[in-house]
Amino acid sequence: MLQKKICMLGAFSVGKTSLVQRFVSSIFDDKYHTTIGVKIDKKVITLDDQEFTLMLWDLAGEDVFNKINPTYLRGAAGCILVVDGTRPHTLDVAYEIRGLVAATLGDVPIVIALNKADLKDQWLLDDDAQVEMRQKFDVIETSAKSGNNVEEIFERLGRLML
Amino acid sequence: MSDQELERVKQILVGDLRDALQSIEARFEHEAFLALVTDVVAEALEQRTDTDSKISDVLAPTIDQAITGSINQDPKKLASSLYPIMGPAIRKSISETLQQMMENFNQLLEESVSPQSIRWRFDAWRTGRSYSELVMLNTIEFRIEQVFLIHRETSLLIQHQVSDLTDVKDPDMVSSMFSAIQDFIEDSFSTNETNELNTLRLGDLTVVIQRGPAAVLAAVVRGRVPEDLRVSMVRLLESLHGQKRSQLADYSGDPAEFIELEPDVRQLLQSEKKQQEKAKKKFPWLAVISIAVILSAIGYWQWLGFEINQQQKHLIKQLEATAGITLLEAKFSRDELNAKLLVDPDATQPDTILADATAEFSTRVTTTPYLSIEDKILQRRAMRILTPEEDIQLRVVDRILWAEGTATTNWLAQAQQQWMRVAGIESFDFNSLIVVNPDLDRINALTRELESFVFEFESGKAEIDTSTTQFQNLVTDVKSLLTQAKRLGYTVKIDVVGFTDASGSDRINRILGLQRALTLTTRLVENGIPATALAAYRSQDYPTFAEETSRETKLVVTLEAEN
Repeated sequence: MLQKKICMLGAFSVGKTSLVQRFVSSIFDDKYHTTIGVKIDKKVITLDDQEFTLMLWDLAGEDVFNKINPTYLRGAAGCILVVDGTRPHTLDVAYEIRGLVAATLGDVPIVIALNKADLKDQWLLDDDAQVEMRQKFDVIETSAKSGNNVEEIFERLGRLML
Repeated sequence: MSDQELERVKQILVGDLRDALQSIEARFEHEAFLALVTDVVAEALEQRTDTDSKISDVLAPTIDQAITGSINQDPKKLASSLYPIMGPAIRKSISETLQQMMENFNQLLEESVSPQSIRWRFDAWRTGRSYSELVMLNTIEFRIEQVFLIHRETSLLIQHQVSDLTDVKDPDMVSSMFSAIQDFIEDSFSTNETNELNTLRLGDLTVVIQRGPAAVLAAVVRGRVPEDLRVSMVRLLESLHGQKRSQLADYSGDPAEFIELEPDVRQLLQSEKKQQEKAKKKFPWLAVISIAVILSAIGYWQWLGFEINQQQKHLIKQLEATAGITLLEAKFSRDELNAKLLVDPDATQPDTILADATAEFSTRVTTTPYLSIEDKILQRRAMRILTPEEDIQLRVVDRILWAEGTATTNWLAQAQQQWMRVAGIESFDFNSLIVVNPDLDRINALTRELESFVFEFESGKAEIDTSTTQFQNLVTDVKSLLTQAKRLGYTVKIDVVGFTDASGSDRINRILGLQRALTLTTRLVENGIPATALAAYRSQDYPTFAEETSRETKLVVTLEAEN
């Protein structure tokens, strides 16, 4: 079975862990996030009758005090950038992270999860920003709360990595 | 009406009954109140307890007092109430303590008195390490529970091998987390980029990490880490990098590319396991041989002791069985035989018997001489004193000395005088003894020889040639006879009888016969034979030979015992 390392990235409190939790089996406690800055989960997906094992490196959310440790990105075959539609700033962070990913991993598939689709009425992202984002990335609107599109985002990334 | 007046009216109306009424009233009030309180007291207590702990504070001293009172009054009551709780609790506590004690004792026994522990103590002293450290190093078994082969770049698991009976969590996740933790530690604490995390330790669990340029091996070891583990890991990594360079450099994420490495990775588990089993199953030759040697040494020593004891007993039996030896006392010990004996001088001496004893033990014998009257000893004593001649057999039966065979008169005469000197002999029986006198026999023999002697003459002559051997022998024999006969107390008389043939006249023949006898007699006297022993006769005058005719002389010897 093919195995791939993928990284979950995004600003602080955008819902990375919630997305992953919707999706995976986990043996490690969430406290690893705060102690070593990463938590590993695993998900087996099937694409075109072929099974994949995705090793999900859920990296601690980035903020001004807490930068992503690039070591954890090493060897990743793809990334999911999570953006919180209610906080436009998280998109800026996503762009920053994309720069870091490109510098560290080169050209690897990246999918953006535009999270908190259940709170779409509270979204503060303006349309221009959304258009620009959709031009640059594969964007899928997700809701960790409802589970909407969660499977799809991992599937999308899986296909990009094939 | 003022109150005072009212009181006075009451006093007048009720008088002395007033106090009694008051007391009845008070009692009613009390009982009514009691009934009231009884109804609510439990609920009240419950309610108050919910609010605060005041009730328990208030009751505590009272309960203490009540318990103390109860114990003082009758301790058994409280004890039997507590019994169902205390019994099991005490038993549990005792059994736990005992179990712990047994475990400690076992451990102590195993570690304090075994030869191994002595060796460890020596090693500890030699290497300057603490004894407990050495015990741990030597006693804790190791088991390589898991081996992870991880792709370094992606942290993906390439191979995972696990020993039997090991509880395993999702190795893929463990592998990734493991890499993350390594990264975290190195990023957080390392001051030098070349520093790498190579060991993780938790209790008796150690994770040994060995890195290659593209792959990492991590072995999870329970217990002591075997010395050669890291070497084996390095070798495996080297061969892996050699064989799978391109696959490692550009890993697609498919572990199947490395499937053929499985036996090699598994070997890491197996070889250590095998070694462990081997060590466990190793037959304790050294111990068995040592025990066997010790046992055979003890056995040999015991056997030797038994043998010595047997030898000593055998010797004592021999001594006891020997005629003329009486055992007074015998003491046996491993290296000495001590005996007190009575020994007859004619007995086989103890030294001769003890000379057969081995050098395994020494013998100390104290002897006291005595006279035995055992027949065997009496016989020896008789032989020693009487010195029997060759043909005599001496026997002692029931203290009577028997002589058999042929004895000379001399010996018998001597024996008859001497036998009483043989202490213990009661009588001497020699009736079956044939007694001979050799001297008399010799005289008789000489006599017969002389009588067979015939001296021949020429016709008509009476001369003798004295130079002949025949004559010289005759002289010697006669002298010998005379000497021996005299010694035995006999007188010898030799008649010399002269004969003539039938030719010639009877008168001449008579003269010639006498002449011939006289000639021989004269010649014998001339050769030193006493004349008194000789007498000459002519045959015609000698009754025995009156009719015989020949030219000769004959001798007739007569022995007469002296008075």
